[in-house]
Amino acid sequence: MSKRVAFTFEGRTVSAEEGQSIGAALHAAGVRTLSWSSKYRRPRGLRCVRGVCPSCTVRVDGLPGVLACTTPVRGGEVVERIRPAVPWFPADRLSRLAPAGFYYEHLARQPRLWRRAERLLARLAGQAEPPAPNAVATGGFQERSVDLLVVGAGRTGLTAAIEGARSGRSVLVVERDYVAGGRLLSEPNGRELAERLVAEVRATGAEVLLSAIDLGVDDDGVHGVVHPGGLIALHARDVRFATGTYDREIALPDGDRPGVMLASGVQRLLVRERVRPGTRAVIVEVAREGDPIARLLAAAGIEVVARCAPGEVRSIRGRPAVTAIQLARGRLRCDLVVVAAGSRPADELVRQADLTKRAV
Amino acid sequence: MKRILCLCHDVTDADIARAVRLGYDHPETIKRFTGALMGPCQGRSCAELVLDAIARETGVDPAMLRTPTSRPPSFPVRMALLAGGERVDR
Amino acid sequence: MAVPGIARGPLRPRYDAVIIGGGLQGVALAYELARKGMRDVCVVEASYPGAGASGRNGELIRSAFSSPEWATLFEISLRKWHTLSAELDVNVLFTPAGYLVLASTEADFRRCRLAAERHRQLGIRTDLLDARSVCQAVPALNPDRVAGGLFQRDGGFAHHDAVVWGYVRAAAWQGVEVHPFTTVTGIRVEGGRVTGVETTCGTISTPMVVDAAGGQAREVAALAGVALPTRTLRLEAFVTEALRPFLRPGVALLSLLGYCHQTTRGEFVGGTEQRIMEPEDSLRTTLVGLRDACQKFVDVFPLLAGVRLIRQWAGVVDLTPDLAPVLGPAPEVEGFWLDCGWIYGFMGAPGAALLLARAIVDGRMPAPLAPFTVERLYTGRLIKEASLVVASPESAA
Repeated sequence: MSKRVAFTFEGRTVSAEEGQSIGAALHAAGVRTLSWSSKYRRPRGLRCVRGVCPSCTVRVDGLPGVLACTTPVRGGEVVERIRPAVPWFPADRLSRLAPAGFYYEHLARQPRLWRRAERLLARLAGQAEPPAPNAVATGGFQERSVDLLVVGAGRTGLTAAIEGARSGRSVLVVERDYVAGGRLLSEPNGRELAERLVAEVRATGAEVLLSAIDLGVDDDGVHGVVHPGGLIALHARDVRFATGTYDREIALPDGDRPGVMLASGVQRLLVRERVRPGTRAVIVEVAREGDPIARLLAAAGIEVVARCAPGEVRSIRGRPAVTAIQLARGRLRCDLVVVAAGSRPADELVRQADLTKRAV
Repeated sequence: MKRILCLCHDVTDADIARAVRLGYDHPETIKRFTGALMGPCQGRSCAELVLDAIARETGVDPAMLRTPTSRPPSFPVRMALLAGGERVDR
Repeated sequence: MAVPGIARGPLRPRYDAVIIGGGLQGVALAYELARKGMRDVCVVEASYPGAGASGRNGELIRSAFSSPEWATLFEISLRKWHTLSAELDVNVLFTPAGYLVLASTEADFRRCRLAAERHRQLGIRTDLLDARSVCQAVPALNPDRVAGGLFQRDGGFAHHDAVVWGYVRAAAWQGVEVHPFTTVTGIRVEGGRVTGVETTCGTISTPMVVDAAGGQAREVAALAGVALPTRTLRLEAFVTEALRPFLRPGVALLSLLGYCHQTTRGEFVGGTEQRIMEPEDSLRTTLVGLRDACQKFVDVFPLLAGVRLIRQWAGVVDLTPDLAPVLGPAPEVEGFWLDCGWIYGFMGAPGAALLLARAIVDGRMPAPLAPFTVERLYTGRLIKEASLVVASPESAA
């Protein structure tokens, strides 16, 4: 029985298992809408559960821009959703008047009117209130050197770190998550293997930084490594990117609503966070990419009512979280739509490193 | 009913189609015109969808379209975490 | 195509004028030349229009400079900015929310006071503000970093891409051909005059070439045998996540060498320079630059401490010894004109384009342009401008 912690969410107390994310705890507590999109104020909820998409952005202890899905519950924090300014403004219904880029085409000849409109638009843009001054303490700064920088503490990264350390090199592993192990943590028996690998890494003397990111390598060849305490200007003789993959996306009709989640996100919620993602699921898949998640859902007693191709989806209904999916074959009641479209490499850092100096 | 491609800025497939029709058919210019790829996720969620949409609308092979440049920081960072140490510009 | 208004067909064999560089300077000049009746104007751009500094700058606009040369030129430009959207029939999102030069020290404030006096003499309206007034106007500022400021009400900022798009479209309507993804590989000079331009998409014959190539202007000039005594500097900038409006005017941090504003969408955009900067033409960013910007801006706007920075980028500028642009004909090569060496090219483009077009078509240098000719760099008649928020050349390594 793991320790329980609690936080405040909009006036109520929400309990969580230690190590759970704020997003998972809220999902377990029945909260589905976590944010409203920046322009049309469309309700959003847990989607990627990997810290990739913006759908679960909330405010914690006054600090906006917190991704609930990858932020661990600390205990005692105040979590709030970020409500748009002028909340009654029906932006989604008026969207025809404001397609992307609309402002370049209007009021060109009416500068005074544009000035007024501009102030109104800025207000309606509805983003978060800025945080209080100095809401985050100035971080520390270190200059360090290391033989091998490993970005990502999943199975690949941890293995590379062990090999590197065993061959006598100084190794630093940088992991974005607050626990090492990567995808292993979301696999049914993966946690034990992850813990063993981490112990092995520690035994070699290699260092693992959690909740840390490699900003990228700059023009002077220095890696900026940011961790909760601040910044390290890191000179690394060698780098290994073991950042894994992201789920591919599919743009479904009204498929951005709460209750539509990417397959690996559903898996993380179910296995790692031990939270039931839903009760009746429809899997929208490319080829047979939905096989693994279908098995996991079935094993957890969650009914998979249908599996279909993206082209069959006419619309995804909800109030605002998913209540049904309209397919060509008919309407199906469901509270979870799983998007299984395969994966692609998480290659931002590799692509950055490839930049030539004059590249645009 | 909307198909949202860019979750950060609510850019739809219709927006991409319209932008291409207007003449913004290069990944860099469509990005700047629509705001796609310019939010906190920096294209993580949407770049593939947007490029596929451009390819569809222009009839170009998606492999020919270069994803707009990836730049630091690889993930958003709170500015205070980067402000430590001695002042760089004394 | 890249943007609306791009030429659909291939390069033609001959043009009356070829402008090298499809940034704001180039496309604005093309538009003004066509408006003055010049037919067959072509702009060649190596990438998409606005891919260089025009799409990377901090978007700030002012005319409150201390020298009569700068003030006159930029005042003409500022007047154009106020009516530009209507003229181009594209909303360039010009927001005249004001331009504040922030004095953080007593020395800064003295400079502002001197500048205010110069502005009065030059007929430019600015307000010298004490610390309390500045803090009232911009509550997000750290009062410990405010010694006062200089405010130009008519200044502000605009959307850098929209302006380029607007000029491209307006120029296209006037018959200008803008050819993107076309790199200039040579400039033909025969008997001391320009006869043509060689590009990756073909050779063009033309009696007139304008070098508006921004960060690559020196290399382009060299193709024509013209040596420009400039050095290339890389400037870095960043953007944050969007927030509710907390900053109205554009702000320049005088002694911290920074500038910033908050866009309509709510993002905070800014950049800083350091006192000592090596010449550099890379478009990659540095950790040092990132740290410098964060140190300065978190200090001056403490609410930024908890704000997420989402992207960093860089642009290059070509600097002259006095940091003023080079505008006018190159004496060594007939038909070769210069429109480069800009550090504030974004805010100066509408005015400079108008004046340069007059110079080219009418054959007479308008008075506001005369101080900016390339000759001044050789005769030593450098322009002394004290109100620049940039590292001075003396401090360059």
